[in-house]
Amino acid sequence: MIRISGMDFGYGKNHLFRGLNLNLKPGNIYGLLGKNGAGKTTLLQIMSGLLFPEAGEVLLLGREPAKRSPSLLAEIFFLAEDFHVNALTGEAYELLYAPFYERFDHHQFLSYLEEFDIPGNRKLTTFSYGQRKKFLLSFGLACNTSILFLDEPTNGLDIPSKNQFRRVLASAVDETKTIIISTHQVRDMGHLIDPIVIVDSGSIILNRTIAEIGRSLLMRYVRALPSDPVPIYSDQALGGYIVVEENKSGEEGSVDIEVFFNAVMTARERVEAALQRRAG
Amino acid sequence: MSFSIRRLFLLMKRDLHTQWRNAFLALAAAIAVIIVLGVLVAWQGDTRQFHDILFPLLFLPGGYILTSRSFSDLHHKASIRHFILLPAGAGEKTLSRLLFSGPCYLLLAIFGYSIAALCAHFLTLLLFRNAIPFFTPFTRNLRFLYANYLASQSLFFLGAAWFRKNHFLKTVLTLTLLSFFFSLLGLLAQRLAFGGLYQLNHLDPSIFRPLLGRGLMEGLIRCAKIFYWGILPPFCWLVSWLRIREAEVSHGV
Repeated sequence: MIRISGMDFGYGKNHLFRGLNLNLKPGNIYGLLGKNGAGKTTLLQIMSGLLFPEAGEVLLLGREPAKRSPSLLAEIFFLAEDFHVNALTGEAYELLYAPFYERFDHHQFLSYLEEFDIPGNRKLTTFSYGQRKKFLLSFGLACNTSILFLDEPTNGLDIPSKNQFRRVLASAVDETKTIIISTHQVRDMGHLIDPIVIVDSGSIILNRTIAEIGRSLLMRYVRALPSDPVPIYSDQALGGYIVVEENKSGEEGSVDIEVFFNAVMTARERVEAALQRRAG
Repeated sequence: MSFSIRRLFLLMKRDLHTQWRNAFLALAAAIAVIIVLGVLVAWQGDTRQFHDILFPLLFLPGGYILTSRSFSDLHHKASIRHFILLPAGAGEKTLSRLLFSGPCYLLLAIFGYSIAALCAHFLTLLLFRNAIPFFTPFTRNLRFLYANYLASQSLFFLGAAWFRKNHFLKTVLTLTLLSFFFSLLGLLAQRLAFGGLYQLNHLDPSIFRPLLGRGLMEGLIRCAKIFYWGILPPFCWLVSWLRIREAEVSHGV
């Protein structure tokens, strides 16, 4: 569905990506993680054709997004962190924008709006940031595009809305769709994003499913730090430690994405080795 | 490059609701201004030149300012993403904005001005028995003005696509600088060609007559006309289209 090979990109003289490779398959909700400035948003923008790569190949559904053919654009919906809405009512917005998307489903749109408790007859500019985001997400999902890019989608959503967001998104994905979520709010994305893609230092350093991670690594809470073997990663928690160890049982353990991300950032080689051993 | 009339109409419909709402507000304000000015002029006395002066004074700057705002969403950080990712081709997006700022504005301005002139006519007739004349929108002079607008508007259209901020002012400034540059170039060329004449104490204009006779000046004027009417507008539209096609999200400010 999305294939990036040998892609270079930079802002001026600052190279952000060098020879980046990535392959994303349909039917998944990918979680794109990385530190601040790692290039998560930039990567989404390159994949959607908003930025042009300097070298290499980027293909979406077998076509170059940089060419911006209308038929490919109709397969993409991008919900950015800082988005723009016009002074239109929800109904007018649908009337003006939905015809651009062939598979737009009016009933689906209404059901998403209802789920998010968003009135369709009010001007979008009168909505709060979170309401606008929920409106655009409802519209984007109802467009039934093959690819949905979401940049920090839970920022600005209240606690019940985050729940609704997870529920709606989980129900929306099917075998034909790929959803890519770039986020720092990994706790909001628990049990939703799978596989996990981590971008760091201009390349993709990890692209694994939650099942693979759970089979290779064990994340648990301990009172005292074990000394033999020394955990791959440990972090102090209330009254003890959260540790990441190699999973030798072979049974799939639960994955705390935040802990896993920190483990990758601090002990990347050991995490990779554990993942490789299990895969091998 | 794919082109679809359906998508063009969808774009124009969308643009009408989102981009040009302010233009309608400006038109309503302009109608009010015309009526008020009509009343003031009729009160003073001579109304014969009213439309000859006022219409170009409102029509040309109004059109240029409107055209300069054609791609305001392309240069805004929050809306550029929306503009680029809207499922339509760069050609369709460019054409939609061009049609609005060119022929659509022209028709709207004629219609709006005619309505305002009609209101001013009856109002002044009622108040002073010295009516503002009816507006005749298709006189020879006005047709020439419309054609000139459609040609020169292309420069502001290019400015709207090219400059990221203050499109109108930057276009005017660029045109001023370019005219200075070409004036200097012309001066230099003239100095090189006719440098010897400056040695004379008295410059006799009849010296140039042989040149006119040979058709050099007519040739130059014809070339300038071909450039102005036939080359400049398509060139500006083409460069605007290329600019839209190559726009990246990082262009937004």
